[in-house]
Amino acid sequence: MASVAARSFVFRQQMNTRRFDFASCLNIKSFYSSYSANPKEKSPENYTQYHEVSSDNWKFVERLKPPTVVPSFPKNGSCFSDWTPPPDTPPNLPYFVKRTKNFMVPVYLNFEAVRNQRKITMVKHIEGDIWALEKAIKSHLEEVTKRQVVSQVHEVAMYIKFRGDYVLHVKKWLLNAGF
Amino acid sequence: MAGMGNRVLAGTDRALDLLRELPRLSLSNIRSNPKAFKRNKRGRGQHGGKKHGAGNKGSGQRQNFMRLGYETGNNPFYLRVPKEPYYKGHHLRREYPPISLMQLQTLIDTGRLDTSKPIDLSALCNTKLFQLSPLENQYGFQLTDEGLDNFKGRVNIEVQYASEQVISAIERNGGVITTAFYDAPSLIAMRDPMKFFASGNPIPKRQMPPENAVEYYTDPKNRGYLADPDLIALERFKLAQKYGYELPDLKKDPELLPMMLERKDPRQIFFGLNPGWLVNLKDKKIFEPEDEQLLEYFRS
Repeated sequence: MASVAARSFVFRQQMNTRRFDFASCLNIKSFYSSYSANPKEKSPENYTQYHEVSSDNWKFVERLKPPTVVPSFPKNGSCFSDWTPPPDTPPNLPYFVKRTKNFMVPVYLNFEAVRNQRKITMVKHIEGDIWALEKAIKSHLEEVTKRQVVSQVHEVAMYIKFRGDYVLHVKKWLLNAGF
Repeated sequence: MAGMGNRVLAGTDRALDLLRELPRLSLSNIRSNPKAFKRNKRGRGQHGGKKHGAGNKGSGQRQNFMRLGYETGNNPFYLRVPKEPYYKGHHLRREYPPISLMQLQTLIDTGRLDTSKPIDLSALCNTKLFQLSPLENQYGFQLTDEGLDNFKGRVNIEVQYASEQVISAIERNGGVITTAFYDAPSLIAMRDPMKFFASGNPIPKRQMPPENAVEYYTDPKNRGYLADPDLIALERFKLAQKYGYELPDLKKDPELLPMMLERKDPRQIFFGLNPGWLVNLKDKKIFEPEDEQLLEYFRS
């Protein structure tokens, strides 16, 4: 077994040395698109001389560094978009809807394929009495849309799903409720 | 079931209680549902053997198939339907993934974008909320008009495309908008600057826009980066007249003025960093070449 492996290794080495290099034979010069793709020069003299640029320019490199964690929202910043910062104290309700790590309200629009595609509004990160929250949101949606709203409460995963696209309504309700 | 006294467990409590009792999940106590996946039956060995998956007689067993698409003589489908020019040249068309003004306002409100510095493609990609793939013909971002009425941010923004009303929305709030072109290698450097600096390549020189884009980027109406700044100022005034708002005087805020007027050279891809420079992240140094040919190339 070992002798067979050794023989095949020696054979492969011999094959490598016999490999034909067309570029060196025909003097074709290849140009690659970037420095790192090019084959490296053998001696440092073939490379350009260089000098250090003024360290005042380092601040421009610092500017290009991305934040490593999600930046916290400004305390007294502008509020012209749909988003409002989460309040300091939770509202006095039997349930609580926690914000996501990006400080957004956890309402999502899913497209679930049940024979035909169906729009589903999902509310996640719920804590406390989920049934009371479902009742509150459902009654609000039925009042606003004047239609019957179908919902699903998942007690273990703690989410509520509404059949239809009510994302904006639900987000607005949650923000008004103080979540 | 373990429970404290007479407390009734429901929902999550029951599930958590069960989890406490059960053994740890591992590959040894987990199994897929029956017929969840089909084992690939190759034509080898005892049960894959005899006819080896090739059937009986005919071109199938004799491995003498007709060409793909052939319909034994009648006009095949792939020749029956004529070519239409809907997708002709689509591989050459540039894509600009959208960012709406509503999203931009949300970014400003949540503190993701720093309005005290100019916003360019690098700043947008550094929020990690937008992905750009230059290798899939995406040449930058376009600013769309969703949330135009409620946009109140004062920014110096550089995008790759913006419509007239979007330009007016930015300028109405005292901001500055520029449309600029970046070629694919520049975009790859810009979307992840730290990764690019770590690769050890010198900062590339931004190429000129292709022929069919030159007209767009030299037009002051589009606030193109190659347009005459005086004509851009005139267009700003004209747009304010058209949309009926008073053009805010940028000079009224002398602290922000230098930031608002900060623009890149047409060959530059990063603010303050010239093409040809090599950034050493580890030692926090920037190097410039001294070779004449290289300097001539990067300065041209």
